[in-house]
Amino acid sequence: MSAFTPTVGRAGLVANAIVAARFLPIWIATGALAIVSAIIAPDALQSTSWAFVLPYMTILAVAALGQMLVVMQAGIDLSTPGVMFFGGTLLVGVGAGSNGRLAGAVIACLALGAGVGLANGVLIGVLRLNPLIVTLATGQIVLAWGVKYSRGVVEGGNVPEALSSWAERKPLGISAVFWTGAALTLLVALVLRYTAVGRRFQAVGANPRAAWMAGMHVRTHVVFAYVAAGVLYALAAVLLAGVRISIDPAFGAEYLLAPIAAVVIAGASLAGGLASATSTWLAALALTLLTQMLRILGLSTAMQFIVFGAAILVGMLVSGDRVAALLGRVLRPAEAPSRPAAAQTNTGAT
Amino acid sequence: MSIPGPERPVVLALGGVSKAFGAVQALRDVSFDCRAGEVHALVGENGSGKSTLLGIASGFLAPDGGAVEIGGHRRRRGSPAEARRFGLGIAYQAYSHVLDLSVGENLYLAVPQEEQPRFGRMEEWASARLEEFKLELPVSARVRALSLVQRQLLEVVKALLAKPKVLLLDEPTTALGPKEVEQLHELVLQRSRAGVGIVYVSHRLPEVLGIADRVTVLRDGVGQGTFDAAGMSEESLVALMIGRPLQHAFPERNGGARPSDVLLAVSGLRGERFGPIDLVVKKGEILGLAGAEGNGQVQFLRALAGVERPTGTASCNGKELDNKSPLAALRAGVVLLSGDRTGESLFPVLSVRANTTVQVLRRLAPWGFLRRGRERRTVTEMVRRLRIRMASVEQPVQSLSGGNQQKVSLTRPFLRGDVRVILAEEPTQGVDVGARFDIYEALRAKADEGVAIIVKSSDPLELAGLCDRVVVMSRGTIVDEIQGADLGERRIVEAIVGGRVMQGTA
Repeated sequence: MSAFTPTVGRAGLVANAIVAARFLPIWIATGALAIVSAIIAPDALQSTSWAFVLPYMTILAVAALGQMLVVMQAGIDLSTPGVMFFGGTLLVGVGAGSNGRLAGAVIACLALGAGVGLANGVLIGVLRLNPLIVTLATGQIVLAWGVKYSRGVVEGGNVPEALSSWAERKPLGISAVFWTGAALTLLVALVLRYTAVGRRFQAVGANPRAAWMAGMHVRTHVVFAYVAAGVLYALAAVLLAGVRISIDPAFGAEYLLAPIAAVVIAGASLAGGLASATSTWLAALALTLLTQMLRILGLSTAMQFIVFGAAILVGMLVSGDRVAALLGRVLRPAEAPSRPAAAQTNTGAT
Repeated sequence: MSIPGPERPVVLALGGVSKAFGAVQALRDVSFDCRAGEVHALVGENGSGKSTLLGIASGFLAPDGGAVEIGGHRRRRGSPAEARRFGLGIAYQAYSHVLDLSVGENLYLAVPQEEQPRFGRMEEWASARLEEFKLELPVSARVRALSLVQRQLLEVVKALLAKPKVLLLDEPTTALGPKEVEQLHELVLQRSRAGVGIVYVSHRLPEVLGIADRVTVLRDGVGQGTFDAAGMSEESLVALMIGRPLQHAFPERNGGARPSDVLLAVSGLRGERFGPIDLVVKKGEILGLAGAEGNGQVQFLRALAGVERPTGTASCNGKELDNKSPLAALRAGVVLLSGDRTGESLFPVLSVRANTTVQVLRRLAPWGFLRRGRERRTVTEMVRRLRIRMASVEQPVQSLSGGNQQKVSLTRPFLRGDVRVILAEEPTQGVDVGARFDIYEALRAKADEGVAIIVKSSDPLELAGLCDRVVVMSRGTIVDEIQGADLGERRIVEAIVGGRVMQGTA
């Protein structure tokens, strides 16, 4: 057998193409969406439109990053709307319209997110309950609790003025909310790529059994994923509250499906382990842009939902595991010509 | 023992069946028949095609060529249900029980619907069935609470309930002690006298010769002939079973280990399917662990690696081995290379890079930040050393061939400086011939560095070529030890099929 195939050259490019394939469709789709939008709904790309799109895409992206961490541990989190609603009411309630109390309000909001995440993490990671049902249940509890709490304090109240005016600021001509989200995305991407913590996090998500056998603390990572996700939802709630100024009963409700959709069409492996923060961020942009385009085209709300749902299904069909598997199948014969184990005579149970 | 006359009808006939799994030819033009009232044994090494043959007979596998006839019916579609309708019963080696249901309920589920009693009368009916087959079991007990022996006997009774014309028994005595073997054989012979044809698959030649009327030998998926058991001896059967052509070379042994340097010492170790085991492995030694599948080899290795909880003690380098968890075992320097590579060892969707360095991140990431350049050089160096064939270190491990995947998991003990013991389960399973030598060489190189290695393999040829010493396990205990000039394929196979029974297994 020849000693060693060099890691550069054409074969290397092929391998990198397989790796990139998983995250490629969302970049192409976003480009295509921009072109379609420029043709049929050019207004969606006007600067007045961006002033709407960028803050909202950021809020979606922040929530989606949280969801992404959970999906990387092969889980799913449906407690997002509950956390965001209760978090939003805390900003109004604890903040009580006073700038001096803003810091306390934000801390309360983030603590709520961390608390709910911890509960989810313990129930799922330690007690091994089903993530779908656990987070649906905790989300329901938190939402109801938030509704109860909001009756007493929120009516007619706004978030502290310092928050809403911060959200309106535009350093370098672009929303401060946007910069926050971009920085956060970059941070998550860097941690996953350049730190030992990020690498272990991916490994545990990719194969918890193998991670355990390799000496890693599996439960800690799963619990951490839900806690971090809860904090990110709370952060999304802070940003949303800053943009919206006041809280209404539907605050946060649209963040049940949209973050999951962003994660999935961004190419994450639903079996855990692989996801890209930057692709997830881009998917949030694409979904928000799509919504804006449909709105400008004058589609009814019902119709918007239908198109949105269909886009998610199509996105799932052409991204992540399916693309990676397909490309792997196409390229593999050229890349691995060796006979597949003529020697399987000793597999015990043939 | 009844000698079946030629007038007995053939109840199971396989004519010229072949079956390939991918590139592996598991069976090649094998013919086999079983007559009413006879016990026909099927013997062969691990992986010789016995289970494939059973799978085809029972309709779970479709043959690539050849014909199957059950109870005089030519099989058409080949489903398990059809085989059962024609009169075929099978008792599996991996039992088919629903563990959380009771004995009675399991029996109830085992008979065709039209023969099931009214649900309310189930327990009464089940007791009657158990009595019929002289099996004393509590009808209402959950199967989970039964011992392995009881489960095995229940499995056979379940297969008999449908009143089959031919009964297939797949390694029925793996879990049984001598007394239970006798009990089982009595049951089998009783059914055989009643006219049932019995196909008895086993690697334990003394038992086979004790019960069978005829014996068919398989080797590498090819039939070696059918013989009258009365005219056969263990030696003559072994001679037929072994003799696979030598396909690969092995690295040279380096004269053996210094006898004083004991590295791993196990005494009185017990676990769910093994024990007590006493064993010593020396520094620089490769010890082979042989035995038919399911005799506790896997559980023993896993207990050493902290994957399963044992009782008894093991010590590594003079210190008591802490095998509470894989992490504790790793800290003590014990590394397990799981036989289930994609399930327990690798992270299939992650890159070769991530898979290689996962256990040495601390070294590559001072202050928690990965030095990707240094990591890349480390990985590339390992790729070169173990001759891993791949396109890029960023390639997902799942896109590599089995041999290269195995090499990736082998890089981990090479990167850790503190490894003292490597436990390798089936290190070359699913690995192509070329890569095998690289793996043997890597293991030998690690041994030469002073590591103690235990290789669990179902391939006697591999054990004979690679190891310095081989111990043979049967029913959870070590029954034989082979080394020096004795160490050869034939001697290992003889030890496995001899099935010497040690008393005192739990």
